[in-house]
Amino acid sequence: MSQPYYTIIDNATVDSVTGSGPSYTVTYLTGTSAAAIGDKVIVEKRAAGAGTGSTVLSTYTYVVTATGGFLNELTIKYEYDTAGLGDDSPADLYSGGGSSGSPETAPHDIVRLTAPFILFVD
Amino acid sequence: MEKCICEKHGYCKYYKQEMTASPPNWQWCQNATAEEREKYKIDCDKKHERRQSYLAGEYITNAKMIEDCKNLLLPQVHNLKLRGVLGVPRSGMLPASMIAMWLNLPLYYLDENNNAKILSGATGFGGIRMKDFDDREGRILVVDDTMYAGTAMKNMKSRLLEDVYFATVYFKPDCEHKPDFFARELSPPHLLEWNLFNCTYIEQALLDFDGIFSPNVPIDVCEDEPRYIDFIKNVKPFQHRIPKTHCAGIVTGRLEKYRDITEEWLDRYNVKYGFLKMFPTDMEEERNKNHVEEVSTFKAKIFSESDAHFFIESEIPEAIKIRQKSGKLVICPEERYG
Repeated sequence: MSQPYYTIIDNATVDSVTGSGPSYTVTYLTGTSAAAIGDKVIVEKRAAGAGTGSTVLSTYTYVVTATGGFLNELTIKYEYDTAGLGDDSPADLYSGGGSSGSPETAPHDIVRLTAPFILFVD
Repeated sequence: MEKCICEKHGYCKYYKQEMTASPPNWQWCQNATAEEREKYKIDCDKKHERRQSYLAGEYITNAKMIEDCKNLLLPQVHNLKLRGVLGVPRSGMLPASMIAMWLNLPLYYLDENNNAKILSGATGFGGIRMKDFDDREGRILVVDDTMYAGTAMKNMKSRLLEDVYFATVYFKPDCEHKPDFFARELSPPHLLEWNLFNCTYIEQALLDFDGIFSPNVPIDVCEDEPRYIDFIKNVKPFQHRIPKTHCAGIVTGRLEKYRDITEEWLDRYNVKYGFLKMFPTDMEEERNKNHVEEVSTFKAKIFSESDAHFFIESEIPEAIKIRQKSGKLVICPEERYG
């Protein structure tokens, strides 16, 4: 992400995902009350079971569109991914952990963009 | 596409997927521009193409794994000088314990100090049949069920304080770390019966009800409604088939009029699912005249219209017909090799 940002929630574990796109409702195992509408969700996609240190196939960015009625639930909408693979469910993005038959879902980083510095020179 | 073609949320023929009301995907399409819809259509086509690769996936049953282990792996290791077999937790313990039994060798585990220790149980030597086993020479055979990247085996190798043999039942052809022995190559993607219901693939599956979550209703019970209701209310679940996360949906030949009982049962046993589709009650007569044809048509239609990757069906004749009608992957645990 080229614009400066700071992390609101690091490494949030996904519990479940509903919706088939472009919006998804994600339930996390950790609280998400710190997140707000407009925050970005960053997810690194790796091949199922290839190892958590394997090559990142694409980095997905979603935008938070609703914070929902539950403390650990967010509705997010696909924006883009670095490899141009196109919209995909966070449930289909794997961390590389687990095995190919039992892959782990990739964790999410929830970040907030900061306004770029503007330097005024008299 | 100039405007949304769906009057309400549900399956969209244009995107070939469910457009839900919550999260608001149908609402998004209502308000999207033609350009946004075109762009999303391209994304959807890419997504469907990626998911097609899952359809070629091989399904390995428990029986098939044990048979491959016995017929293909055991002949390679039975003459080795071994003092025991060590399983990689958890699924590697399955073939490891089988090999230990077949070769009458002690079963080992790796302790927190990286020492291979005998799983001794009630005896200090690993089971009553191991009483006379005194061969402390030889290597340990470390066994896993599958090797994809070889990470688990590589980690195990770095931890073990002694020289061992490595074996795996299934081995990914281009895996970087090759084991000393393997039963056969297995290209990804693959679905494994022993962890199918606790892996995230199950979230992309539609499941039959009777015969999958619980035993089938006996025919004589089906013909007597009070007994039928009592049965479906009180039948105990197959605990190994309760998804540990959630499945995409449940599609059943059970009649819609039994929805309340069915939902209450699913809730009682904590089965999580996206949707429950039941056979229309007003078509009961047609269903009973030709059960396999009618029910498989019903299931195949829902399966075709969904973006689920595979269907798990308990009855072999229905599984065959759902495959034919949907052209998608149908797994039948009753079939020996899936």
